[in-house]
Amino acid sequence: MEQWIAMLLLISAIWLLQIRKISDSVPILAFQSFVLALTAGAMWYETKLSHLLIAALLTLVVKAMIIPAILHYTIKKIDVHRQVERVTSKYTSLLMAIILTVAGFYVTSRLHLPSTKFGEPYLPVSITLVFLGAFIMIDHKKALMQGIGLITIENGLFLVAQSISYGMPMMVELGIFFDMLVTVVIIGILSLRIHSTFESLNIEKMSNLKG
Amino acid sequence: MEEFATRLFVLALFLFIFGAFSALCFSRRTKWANVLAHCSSSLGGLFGATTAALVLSTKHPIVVTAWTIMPSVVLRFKIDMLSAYFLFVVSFVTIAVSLYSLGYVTEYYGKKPIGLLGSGLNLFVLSMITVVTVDHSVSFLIAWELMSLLSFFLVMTEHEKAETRKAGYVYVVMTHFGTVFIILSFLTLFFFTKKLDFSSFGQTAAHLPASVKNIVFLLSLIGFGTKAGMIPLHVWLPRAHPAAPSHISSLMSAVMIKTAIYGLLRVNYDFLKSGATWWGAVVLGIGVLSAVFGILFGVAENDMKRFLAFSSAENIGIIFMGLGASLLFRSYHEPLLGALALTALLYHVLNHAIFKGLLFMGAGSVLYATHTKNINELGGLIRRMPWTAVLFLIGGMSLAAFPPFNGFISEWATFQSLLHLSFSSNHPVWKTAGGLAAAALGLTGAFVAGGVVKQFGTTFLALPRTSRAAKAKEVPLAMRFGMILLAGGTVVFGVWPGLVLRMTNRIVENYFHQSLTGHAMLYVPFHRSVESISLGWMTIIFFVLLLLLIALLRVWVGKSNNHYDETWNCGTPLVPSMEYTGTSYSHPVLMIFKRLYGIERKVEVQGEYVYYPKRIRHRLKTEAIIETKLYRPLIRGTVWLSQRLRAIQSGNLQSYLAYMIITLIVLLLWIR
Repeated sequence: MEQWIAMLLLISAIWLLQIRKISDSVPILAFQSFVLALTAGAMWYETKLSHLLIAALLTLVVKAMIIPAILHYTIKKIDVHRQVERVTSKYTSLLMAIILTVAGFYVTSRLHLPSTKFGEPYLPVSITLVFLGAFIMIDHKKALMQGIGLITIENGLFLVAQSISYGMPMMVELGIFFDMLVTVVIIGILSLRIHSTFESLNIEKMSNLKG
Repeated sequence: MEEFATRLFVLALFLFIFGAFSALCFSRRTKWANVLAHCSSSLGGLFGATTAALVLSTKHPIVVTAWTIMPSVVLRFKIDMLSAYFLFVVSFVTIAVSLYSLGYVTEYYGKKPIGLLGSGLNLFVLSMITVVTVDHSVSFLIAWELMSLLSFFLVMTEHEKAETRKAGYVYVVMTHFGTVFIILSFLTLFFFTKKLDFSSFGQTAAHLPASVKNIVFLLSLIGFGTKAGMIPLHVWLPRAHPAAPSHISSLMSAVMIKTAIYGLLRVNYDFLKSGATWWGAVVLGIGVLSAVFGILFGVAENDMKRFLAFSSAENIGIIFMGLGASLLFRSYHEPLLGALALTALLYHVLNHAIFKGLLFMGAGSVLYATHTKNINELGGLIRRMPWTAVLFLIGGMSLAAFPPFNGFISEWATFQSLLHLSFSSNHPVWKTAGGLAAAALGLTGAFVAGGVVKQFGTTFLALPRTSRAAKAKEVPLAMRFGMILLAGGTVVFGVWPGLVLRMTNRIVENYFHQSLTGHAMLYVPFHRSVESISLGWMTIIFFVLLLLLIALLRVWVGKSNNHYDETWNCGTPLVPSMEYTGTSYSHPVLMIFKRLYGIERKVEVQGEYVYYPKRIRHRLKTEAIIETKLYRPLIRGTVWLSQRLRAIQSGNLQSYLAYMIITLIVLLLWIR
């Protein structure tokens, strides 16, 4: 069962690299966060640790609903229904994603991290999620996709914490959720600003700012 | 007694803190800020000096634990014999400088925030005292960095001048360059001993492998050497010292650079305890280089404070010669001679602090009265400021190692140790090196005397060259008093060397288990069969000879008859432009060492007939050879390398992200 859930997460991350329109990314992200909430819920079901339930609910509400809603609103506002722009081609990015996945699995197998009983299958996937999230940020040129990559990294880190020690302390978890929310709001505002200043969301133009 | 000394020391520390805060609180009222800051710092200095004297006389080290920053990182003051000696040096000079500052900062009333200046002085002294007394590497480094930064801010007091800003920049770069090496040397020690406090370093560092010891020695030599101003790392000295207000440059030159000597002694004698023979040779070589080149650059200077700064580099060279000789004797297991060299260097530390403090204060007084440091614009000040003139002369004679002033004794002892190196060593290389080093020291002494004559003669004698010098007035009483205190020190420590020997013996006994008693300093080295001469008898004989000579002359020549008349001046009135200038006085030296100064000389004669010129223009341009030949290429190389490295700074967000993720993956792969 866990293997299948982990697989779903991995597929969602690779899918984010392969989208055609920026607006497509929002439902995929919501789906990814939803699966993440499921894993936390499943762990709560197995271990009966109450803070896992809270984490699962928060993930569901914040990451799977509020954040996609904000992103959706931003996209609608600046009207970027156009195609995504990548540094590499679609197929090269798929190849890179596969290489990064292999690297993630290889690294985890070498590290011998202490992991919990129910979290063990998620560990390689969680580290791969971090890699893929970073690669999303590198590969895509539109500023909004940077935010989506960041949330993918965050999801990966959340999963690492869960699989190693059933999540971080409640206080830290809450703090991270709040940070995440603020980050997305800021990304939304900044995207609007960048769009209105440069008439584009292409972050390559930001190198004009360099002194 | 120990209890009393501890309390006194804590009181001194609190006085400095009080001085700093009260000066800040009263920064609106300049007069109050001045009096509060400098009175409390001079009182603090008095208590500090008393503590040091008590510790040295009772031989009981005192320990004050002030603050546990973290477990195993403690701010603890531990005054052992070496610390006490340096505490004495710092405190003694502080008393005089604080008194002097009472008068000197009136110059800045209404121009500069006196509260900040006074508070900076207090904190600066406090940081120096902390540097020489803490016994933990982390708190040492914190204090060291504070000392560097505070002195940087004090140097920048007159920041509206472009020259000062440049000086401050060079100073802060060089001082951090040095600090990096000090941190590295302590980290190396930490890496091998697993402890951070000085006492653990002392217990375990002696048993480290020789290669590690070599690394620690070299790192500490570069690190502390930069602060001390050894050549070729001296470039900040002739910039920062003239730029700072005179009482600050007096503290920096007299005391701050001595903290580097303290660090070197700590590392070499307390931590490493024994080392390779080449250590001593390296230090001796640097010493010779610093002494000779320092004074050669100094002689050419027409700026009083720049001359004094170069002379500080020269004196650090003399101290390094003593240190080098001492390290050489230590490696050859000659405790008595090692003790002699160590004594010489410690004595010179005290002496240089005293006379250099005095000279910088003298230069400050001239600056206060005339608002110029250029000696070619001065002249005739001896009639206008007799006190300053006499006190400056005392300092200058001490600098030039004239008996009976204190500079003589320590240079004599350094000579002795170098000659012992050449007479008592069994190795022909060291025999030659010792002889050559002694010759170099003699050469240095000659140039110092020439430099002092140039500075004193041009500034104080003959007629005033400008109206500034003509209108000069004697400085206020507080300033004169500060100088008198140190001038008294030069005489006392010159005539009664036993006072200082009693202090240095405590340190020397710890490291060489050998004490220099009586007139051991005055042994004449003739291959083992040492013969002692007595300073007391020498003085008496000298005076008797002098009297005999006078009597003889009286008998031979008869009563001297004086005839006062005007100087013959070709019939034209005497004008100051007929005087010998400072530039012309040092011109022969410049011509002899043309290569060293990179001289560009231009003489233009205007007029129809060359023997009756209407006008002669003489231009002399010197360049700082070390900076153009050594530092320029280095800086150019660094800039070139940085520009190449800048290519990775594309400004592209994705490339930065890629760097991060690649680093992360490589780290994860590398960790196992």
